[in-house]
Amino acid sequence: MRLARMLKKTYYWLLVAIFLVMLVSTGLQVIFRYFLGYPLGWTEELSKIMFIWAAFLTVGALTMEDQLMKIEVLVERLPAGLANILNIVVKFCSGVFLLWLAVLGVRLLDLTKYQVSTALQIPYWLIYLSLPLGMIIAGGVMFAQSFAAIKTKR
Amino acid sequence: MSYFLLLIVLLLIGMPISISLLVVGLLYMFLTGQVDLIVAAQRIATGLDSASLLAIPFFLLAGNLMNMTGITNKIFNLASILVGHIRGGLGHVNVVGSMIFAGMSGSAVADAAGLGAIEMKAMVDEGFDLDFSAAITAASSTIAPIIPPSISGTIYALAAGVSIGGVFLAGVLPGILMGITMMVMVYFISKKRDYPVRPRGTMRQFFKALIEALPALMAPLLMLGGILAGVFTATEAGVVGSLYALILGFVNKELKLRDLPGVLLDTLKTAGDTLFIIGVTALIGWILTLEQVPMRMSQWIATIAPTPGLFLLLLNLILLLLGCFMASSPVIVMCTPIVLPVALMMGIDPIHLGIIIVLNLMIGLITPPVGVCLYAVSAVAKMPVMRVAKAVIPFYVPLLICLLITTYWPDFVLFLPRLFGLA
Repeated sequence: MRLARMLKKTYYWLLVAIFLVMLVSTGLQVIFRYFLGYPLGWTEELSKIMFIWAAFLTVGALTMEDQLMKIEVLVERLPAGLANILNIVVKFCSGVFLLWLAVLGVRLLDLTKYQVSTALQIPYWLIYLSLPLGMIIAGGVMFAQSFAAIKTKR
Repeated sequence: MSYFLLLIVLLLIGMPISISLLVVGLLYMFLTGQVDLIVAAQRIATGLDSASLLAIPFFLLAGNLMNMTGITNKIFNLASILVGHIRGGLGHVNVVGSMIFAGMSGSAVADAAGLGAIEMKAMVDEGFDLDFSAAITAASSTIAPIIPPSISGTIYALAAGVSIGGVFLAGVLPGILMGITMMVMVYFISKKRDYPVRPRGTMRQFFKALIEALPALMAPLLMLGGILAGVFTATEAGVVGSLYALILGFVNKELKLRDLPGVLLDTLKTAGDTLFIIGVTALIGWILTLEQVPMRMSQWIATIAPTPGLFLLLLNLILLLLGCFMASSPVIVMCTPIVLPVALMMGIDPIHLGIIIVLNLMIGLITPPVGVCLYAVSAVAKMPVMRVAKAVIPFYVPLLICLLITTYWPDFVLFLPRLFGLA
């Protein structure tokens, strides 16, 4: 349990760090272009890469806290037993499709392995690695939540 | 059609919106088998590969930070001196406060939960009913995403491929109109219920309040002015706004460095889901084009709503209904690619369309069963959501009047964007 907590904390700090790089890089972009008259070529690309990482990794964090947007109006009005079964099924199916996307994401890495970004020369697989990684975390969490719900039901 | 029904079923059984879209997209590609499924991953990844999208987390961050600068009290004081002496006193202050706050933040929930808490307490202390105080707080919070900067406006502009600055400018007049019509409603209710007025402030008090609230008034000028003058892009304006709020918060000693990681994480969590939906919608949009859905949709709409007027009426009704059940950003992301081509064919300006969509969905923020502003206010006022919802009903009148004017008077909406050559 302690390990899980520590991992989660590290994960959140990683997200904060990525966001911070995004901010600082875009901030530098304005300062260098407008105030110093010396536009930097790499800031936009760096922010964009960090953004893609942040977006996919945040899906994992949101899944852990069950905070992905959904319509709960109907489910809330169902009897508790039925709602619970539905929850198990929904979480399980979500996990399947997230992992499916993760597998496709891995294939995408293979497809883009020779491409590099224009300014920073960062290989594209390193940028798109965020997709399978985020999806594996989110999908794994969905499965875990689904099984946990089955257990409590018993 | 069957895929559309599947999507509705998935949404209704409580599957997350982003994942429901993903399921439909992947199943479609798998079952039709026309293209390699790797395209799905590619579309979703490249859907987020755009520098303009960074504007979403940046503007959210600016709004969150502005709320922590301790400036909300000063906005309240200024609004109080400006309109507190009109019949209905603090009711008007509530509306004007929200209008000023709207210039700093593009988030209605931030307004309802932050400034709203101060406003409701002051109103109840002065003898207003809690129901009325909660209602006007919820209703006026919907102005925040109309007056720039606006998160919803940014999302629409990105989805529609139009200028963010243009959409921002187009929101100014409708936002002010919302404020004025709500104040008229406050006036009539207050007259009937004999709500108190505040004493008229002196010139000296006015200038003191104005100077204290100046940093808040400067925020929209800085962000919007910077975009319009071409100093920075809309994305960069979000960072400039955040930096401005950060400095303000440190100077006012309200914000500590150790608060920062928490704010960053919260912002990312709020933005993250919308961003994932945008990514998945890139896949759905590709499928829709492949299936020629926008074209067929146009033909279908042309038969049931052949004139732009009827089309907009239909659009308003559908959006109001969707707004009752869904959060605003996913609706914007999902509807824009379908509605925009039809609107363009009918000669409706895309920026005008954006304000119509956003305004509809902002009304959705205060309609049950899913209305985030109702929930925010109910949490602050410690009263049941449905009681807030009932109290809000009279304020649908000014909001619907604004919606009608905004929908059927494009020149009003587009006046400012045209003035700056953005429409």
